[in-house]
Amino acid sequence: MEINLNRRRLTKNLEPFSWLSPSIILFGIFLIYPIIFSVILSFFEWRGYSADIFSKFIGFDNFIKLFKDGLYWQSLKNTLILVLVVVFIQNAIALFLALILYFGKFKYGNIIRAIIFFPGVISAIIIGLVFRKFLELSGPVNVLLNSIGLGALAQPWLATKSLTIWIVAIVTTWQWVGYNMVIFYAGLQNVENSLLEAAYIDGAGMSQAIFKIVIPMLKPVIFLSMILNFIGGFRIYDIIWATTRGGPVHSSEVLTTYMYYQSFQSNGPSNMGYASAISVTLTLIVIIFAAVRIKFFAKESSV
Amino acid sequence: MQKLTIGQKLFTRIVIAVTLLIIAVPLLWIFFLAFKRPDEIFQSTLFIFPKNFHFTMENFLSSVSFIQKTLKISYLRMYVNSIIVTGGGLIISMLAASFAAFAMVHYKFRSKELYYTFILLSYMIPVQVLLIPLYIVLQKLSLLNSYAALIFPYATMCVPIATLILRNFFSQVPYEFTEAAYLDGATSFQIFKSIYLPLARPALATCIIFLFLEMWNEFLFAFIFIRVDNLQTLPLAMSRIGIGARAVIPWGIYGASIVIAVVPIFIIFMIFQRWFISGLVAGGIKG
Repeated sequence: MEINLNRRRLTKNLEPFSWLSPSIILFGIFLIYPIIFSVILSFFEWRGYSADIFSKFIGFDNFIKLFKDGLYWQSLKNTLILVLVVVFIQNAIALFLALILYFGKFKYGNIIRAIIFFPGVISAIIIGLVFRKFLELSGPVNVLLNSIGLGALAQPWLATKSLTIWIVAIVTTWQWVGYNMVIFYAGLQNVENSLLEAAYIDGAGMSQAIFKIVIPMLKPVIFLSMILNFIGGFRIYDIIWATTRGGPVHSSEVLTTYMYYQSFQSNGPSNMGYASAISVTLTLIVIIFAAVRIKFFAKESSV
Repeated sequence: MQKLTIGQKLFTRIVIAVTLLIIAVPLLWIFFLAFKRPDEIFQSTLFIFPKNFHFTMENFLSSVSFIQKTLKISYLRMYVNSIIVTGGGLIISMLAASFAAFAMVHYKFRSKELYYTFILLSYMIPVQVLLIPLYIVLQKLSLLNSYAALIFPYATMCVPIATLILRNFFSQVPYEFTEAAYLDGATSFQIFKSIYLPLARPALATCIIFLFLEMWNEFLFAFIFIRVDNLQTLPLAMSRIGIGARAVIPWGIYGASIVIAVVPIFIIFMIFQRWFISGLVAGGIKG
């Protein structure tokens, strides 16, 4: 047994890799191979019926088709709407709530936090079921509107083409604002109290202290929270499926649901190659932004 | 901290009260829907509490038989399936991730940075892009319509973030412990088991909670990879309520079904809320 007094000498043996092997095997079969498969498939046309998957090579045709596909651009637009709302509006509300909760000195702060956080624990499918009924034509929202004289606004909220993606964005925010709020709250707890005390002694008012001291100190946390929502925003699928299925008439379709429509949806085109092309573009978009983020974050944290 | 003025105090209370209302009302409405008598539901969709506080459990009984009939699976079976799939995924992913995190902290090897970048990227890719190829892979391995069809993908998707969280935590273990163990002639595995694991218990717990939620609530893979009735997980079965041929469901049953699906998680959450919250936060911050 070699006594290794040198701190973590560079190992030339394979020992670390035996520790990594379970992960690598999993990744190999269920992650790397599928990704490569997906990229290759995007250059073919395959409808999912025939056993010969790679029988019809069509080069970049899928991508050209994508470029001209109105539904693709609409899905992309909806995806961006969703991501922007989730990154900026959801975080803004969450930050506001965290500040209120933190500086407001609530006796039952823990329970309040738990309640606001709870929707994030429930499956998006169930949240979708809840809001499907809630926003129905004869549901409580419309009944309330009617009773206070705003009956003109009453409508089947999830069936109004121009509104659907915004409703989905609102529901998503409703579900996850607690998550960001808790992150900000944890960040607030790490803010140096002494700094605040000094500011108060110097005569600063509370809102001054908040805006000039606390928020700048929270910058890394705010940034982090925005990145998390950014990554999460592109993955949103379940809630859309559970509320609108991407409809009506694709008005709330995002890239993930459009991909599903093109591939597995039973009344869809079942064009696996095309769907793969869509997924390739989605991956590229996320990775490019991620690369930008890593560079940016590295600069931030090296300060 | 500074004392609040009356105005400030009022403002904060109002904001929080409104927020709590917004969060709670949809959930409470559905919750009480489950207890209302079927005939009164259409009269008063706005009021949350049943008229005259006349609670009834009949919707729950109806729901059980309704689900059994239309979804061809019992609630119990749904829960069992979810538990098996989530449990299996948790075991595999926690093992793989803790081993990998240990390797990244304990050894120096040239591809470490590469592996780290790889994990980071894997975390960012939306899982949906793997839908088609994973389906084909599972088909080729004859794993479709089995527990494995979900357990392995779930585990694979969760290993990156778990590795990141654990690696972060492991890296804070003082190296002196390891050095002392080496002097006593310990193997790497013993160091892992007797030093790192016990010290990492909080991180392991938060990791487990975070992964648990991801897997328990997962829908898309379950939807595509499981096509047999008796293996449906909870989200999968729930997604089939109120669509298509089963679109018209009495509201009472609708509410009761949702309550049955949510209450266990609610109870668990209320007991372990601190763990849940710190778990999800850790998942975010450490990642």
